[in-house]
Amino acid sequence: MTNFQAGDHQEIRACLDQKLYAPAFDLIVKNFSGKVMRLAYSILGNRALAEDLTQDVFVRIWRALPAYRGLSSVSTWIYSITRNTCLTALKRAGADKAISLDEPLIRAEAESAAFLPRGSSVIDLPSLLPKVPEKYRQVVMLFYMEEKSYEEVARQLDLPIGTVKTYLYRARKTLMSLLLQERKGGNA
Amino acid sequence: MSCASFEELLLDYADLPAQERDAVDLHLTQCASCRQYSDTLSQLDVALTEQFSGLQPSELFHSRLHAITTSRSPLSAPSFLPELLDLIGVAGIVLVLSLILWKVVPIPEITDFVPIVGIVLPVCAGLVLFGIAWLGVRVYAEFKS
Repeated sequence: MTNFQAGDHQEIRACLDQKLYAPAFDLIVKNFSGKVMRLAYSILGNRALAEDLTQDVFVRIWRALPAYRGLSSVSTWIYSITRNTCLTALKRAGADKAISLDEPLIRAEAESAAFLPRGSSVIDLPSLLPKVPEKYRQVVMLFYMEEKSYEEVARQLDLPIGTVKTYLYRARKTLMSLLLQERKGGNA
Repeated sequence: MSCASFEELLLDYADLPAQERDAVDLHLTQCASCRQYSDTLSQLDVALTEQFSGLQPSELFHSRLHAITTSRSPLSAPSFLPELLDLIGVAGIVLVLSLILWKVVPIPEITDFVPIVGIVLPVCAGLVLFGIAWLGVRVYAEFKS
């Protein structure tokens, strides 16, 4: 996982100031492709779709580079494009009824070979996660994807750190009560 | 303190102050039910870490992206709309300022105050509205493009 350094940020800004879009874009892809994909995945709940959307996001970024004027930081700008792209995709999916972005996707995703839980068969996350309210689920997924960094989750979702902590607490509390209920049911 | 309260503290364990952490640790040595809750919470933590850590785009993603951004299709070319908007904005401001100067210079007599207000105020209001609209379009272009 790559960490976005202040030096990279300055280098991107310097490239953009000189209208060197290609090197700026290369740096952006290097620093943000993983983060953008994880943010998209936390919103969409499907890896293949997240990767497609990540590609769309970077094409948008490429096209919009000359429009970036530094009113916000590079990361804020990129995350806002990512969230908008994902939300547009969700709306389109809702309108088309082509895909449902709730339980079936998350279940299918977790069951796919590429993403099978490793050694965690005692907890059936694919059946538990869809029962967690969406905003809490996004936070809990992103928190574990971003190496448990409250700050990174807050930046990516544009939420205050306190809200991230609250949502995470509620997500884990909901998961725990579902898990304990499930185990009690299994033992009965 | 009840076990339910300790369960809530366990959910927040990483962010607890040292004193509360010690209280939770002590309670865990004495309460089997809370110990079981803590073990389950640890299992959940491990499962979530295993499920979600290390997600990266595939190799294919980078090659596809490279192909798209290096293609000559107009869709992939960097947009020059902001430059165009800058030009229109600057030209508009110069035009409005020229109009104001043209109306104001030479400085009129005090008796001409009312007609001057009648001209300058609408022009200034127009300038402000134009500025707001221009800024709106620029912000829209930056954040939504």
